[in-house]
Amino acid sequence: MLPSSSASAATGNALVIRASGPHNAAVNPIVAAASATVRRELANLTQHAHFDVQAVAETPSELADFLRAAPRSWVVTGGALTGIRPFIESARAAAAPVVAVLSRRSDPEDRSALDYGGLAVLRASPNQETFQAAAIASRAGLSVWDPRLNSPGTSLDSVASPLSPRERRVLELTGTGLSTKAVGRQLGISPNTVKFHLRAAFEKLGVRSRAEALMAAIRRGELSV
Amino acid sequence: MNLPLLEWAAARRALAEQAAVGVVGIDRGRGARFSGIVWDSETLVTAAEILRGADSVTVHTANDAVPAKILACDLSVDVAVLELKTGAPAISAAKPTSLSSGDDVLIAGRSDSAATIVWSHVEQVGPSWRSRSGGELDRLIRLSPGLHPTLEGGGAFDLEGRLCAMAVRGPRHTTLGIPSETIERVVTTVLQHGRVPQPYLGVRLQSVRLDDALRERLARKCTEAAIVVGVEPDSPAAANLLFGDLLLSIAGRPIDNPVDVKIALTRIPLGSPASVQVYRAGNRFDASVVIRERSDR
Repeated sequence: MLPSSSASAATGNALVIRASGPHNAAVNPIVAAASATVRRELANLTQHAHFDVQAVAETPSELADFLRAAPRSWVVTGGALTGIRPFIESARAAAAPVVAVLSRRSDPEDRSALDYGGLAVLRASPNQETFQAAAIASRAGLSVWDPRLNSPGTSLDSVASPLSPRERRVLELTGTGLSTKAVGRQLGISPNTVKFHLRAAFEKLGVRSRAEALMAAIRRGELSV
Repeated sequence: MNLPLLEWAAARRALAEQAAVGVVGIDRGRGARFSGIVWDSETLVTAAEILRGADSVTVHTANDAVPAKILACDLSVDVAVLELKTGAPAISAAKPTSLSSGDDVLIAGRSDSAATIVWSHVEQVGPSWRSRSGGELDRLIRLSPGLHPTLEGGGAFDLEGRLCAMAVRGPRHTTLGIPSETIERVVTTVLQHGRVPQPYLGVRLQSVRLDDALRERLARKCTEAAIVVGVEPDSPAAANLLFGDLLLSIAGRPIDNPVDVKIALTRIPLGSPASVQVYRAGNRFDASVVIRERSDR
């Protein structure tokens, strides 16, 4: 049980801060996405930004039900643009603010359809500050557009932090099945430096294994075949 | 006394003991332990990804712990080949056709020197498929989920004690079996070349979306294609391919994205010319390129 003293201490300014601050239950979002993996990622993102997840909706109609029950809540959704559109429509019908995190490969060709008050559109893996700012802005009825999404004609993946020449070279040699030591010998660097470059490449490519990193780099046009 | 049950248990124990002979424990150092399979008297195999770029490991048999050299890794199908003279008889591999969904298998490995055996079953058997790592596996074999980490790289044996697959951990707690015929393919290549040769064309590619008109003109079903965004100097591609070319097929295999190209290349004999269908400036034509090995080493 919560100590009653905390409730009585929350007076005046303290209450105002709580009402707009991230720790008030009333301002916690509903996470909505069709894919379980995406829901988990969104929940992590939400929690890192110091919000608790109020509810989890797996379908747009479920989201609509939640929003009817809690009309003042807001929504965090994510994934590919085609998949999240129905969720955005549900939220829009209930006039609920939305933070939408687009997946890496999702390329919104028409911004105008997504440009309305209360909707924040972010690029994949926003940092904590960006997410918090987007949440505040969308709930204030502002329209937010991640500038990283705004590069007409170029592939999003090539815009997202390209690999350094060293990272590329380390990945290329790793791809031939060479051991960490052998890659280091070939490039005249220590095995630990090889691992450092690999880790940096994994991070940029959003992968966790050597094999996945190779495929991601080939898909982005960073590595030759 | 229930004799049929005891006989059943004894038969299972005999199979487990037989399987245990064919597997080893592998220690990468720093407490990273998993399993491997004794392929023949001088060769072991294990999963490639879990080696994390190590070039030697400690191998535990029932009564010994010896260092072993890693000969080569094929990351695309997750198979690593190790050299170790065990003198053990070659493993007998099950016929590819003999496995079906619902079959019981036992997964054998070693944690240090102690044999670890888990009875499991085959959830699904399917035709050849492409892994997320861009490798072509001869069959899809899905085993009961939740493989213990120390069993990764261990063998899945059928009720006749023959090796069906190597057990590896897939995405989201799934357990995949790398088919024995895929392992054999890698072992044969590695023993022949001392490495897994990397076919090389010398282009960097990206996916592009094709509009309907172009799709119709090219008579393609897929909405995407691979476009050349870089040609490396002195590469096989340098003579014939240009920045901006769309690659439509290689040696008759259709290309929908950059990874398709990598896979198509693995099926072309090194040093022989292959036909690449190109779409450039409104024209479609065939270019001939001689695929060679990447000369990084």
